Amino acid sequence: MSFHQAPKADLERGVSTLGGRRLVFHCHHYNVFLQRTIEDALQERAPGLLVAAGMEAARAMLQGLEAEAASASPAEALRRAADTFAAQGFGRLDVGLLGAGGGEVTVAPSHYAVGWVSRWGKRPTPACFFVAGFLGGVVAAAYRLAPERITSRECTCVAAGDERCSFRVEVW
Amino acid sequence: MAIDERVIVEAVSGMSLAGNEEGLIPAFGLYLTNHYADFYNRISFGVLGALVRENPELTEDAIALLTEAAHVCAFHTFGGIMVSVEWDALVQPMIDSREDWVRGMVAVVNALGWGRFRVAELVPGERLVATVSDSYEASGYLESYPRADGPRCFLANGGMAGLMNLVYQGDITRRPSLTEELYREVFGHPRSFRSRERLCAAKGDSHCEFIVERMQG
Ligand SMILES: [Zn+2]
Repeated sequence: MSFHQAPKADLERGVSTLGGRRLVFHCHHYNVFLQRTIEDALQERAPGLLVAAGMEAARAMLQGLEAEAASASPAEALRRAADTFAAQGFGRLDVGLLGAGGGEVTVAPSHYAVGWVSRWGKRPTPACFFVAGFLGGVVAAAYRLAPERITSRECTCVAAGDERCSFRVEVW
Repeated sequence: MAIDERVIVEAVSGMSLAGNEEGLIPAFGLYLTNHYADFYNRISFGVLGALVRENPELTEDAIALLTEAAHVCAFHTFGGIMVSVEWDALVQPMIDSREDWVRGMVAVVNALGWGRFRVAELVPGERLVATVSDSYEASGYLESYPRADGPRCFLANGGMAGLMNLVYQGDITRRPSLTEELYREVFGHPRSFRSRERLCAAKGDSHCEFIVERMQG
């Protein structure tokens, strides 16, 4: 059973929304090129912006979905987020170990890692900042937590030569 | 037969571009994502704001970085779409002229959620004027920042230049391989196209408008 909900499309206006937030199609070339532009420009400050933006986007969308039709439980909200993430082309999340206190999450494959490697090959550090942010937003929305209580980072990444992309979400 | 935008928009929207078993969307020779406008806007306007605050005279350079990302996007996304089997099946039969490649691609763009694009003027090989309503960049900007003192649709702006470069500079109708080499050749040409966003909803205009012309190299 999939908990994914299809976006609402207004073809006349060229507008597509999910949970009241706009969705736009873009390809991996743009995704990883824009990320690299930002990493080059902001250096060590880039991850902060990229993760926070991912978290904001995911939380706003999921809170919108919850307002339209509340999940029966936090576990169902997590499933809904994972199914949405896969439907959007970001990869397959395993959120089975995620709970109210955070936890480990794996993504296999991850769009950002696949895209980065296909364009530029390996890099020395993890690449999936958006995903780290997304997962923080998911935990905030599913457990109705203040986002300031959550940190999320990628521990291993296929783009950095690891076997898989894994993330640690912590709730403080 | 002319380009029928409604048919194209409905067909592309009906392709249900959604993740496969792996949660990826391979289409048009690319991996697509149905991503968050909120994310693109925050990282684009965030990096611009940071660079400009630190060094106001770098504003043009910072915008040039985001425009370059848009050129790369257009080259691969629009280029990938225009050499795809999906294009052959859906759009190619409606094409009568080279200008229809521009109109056909604008119709496809209108199925991507970027807002509604319209071709206001197209001078073959020389000039495109395109308008956009509900630009996700301008809408997102206005939602989070005070009214802008200049245009903010960096992706759409570079995208329109990229489209003209693909059709009239890179001759996408001959289906070239979309290599880095071709990208540099096309966008580095002294007479290649660049776009200027003359009107933008982010600075208070009713819609956004892009003027695409060749550089005077
Ligand atoms: Zn604009």
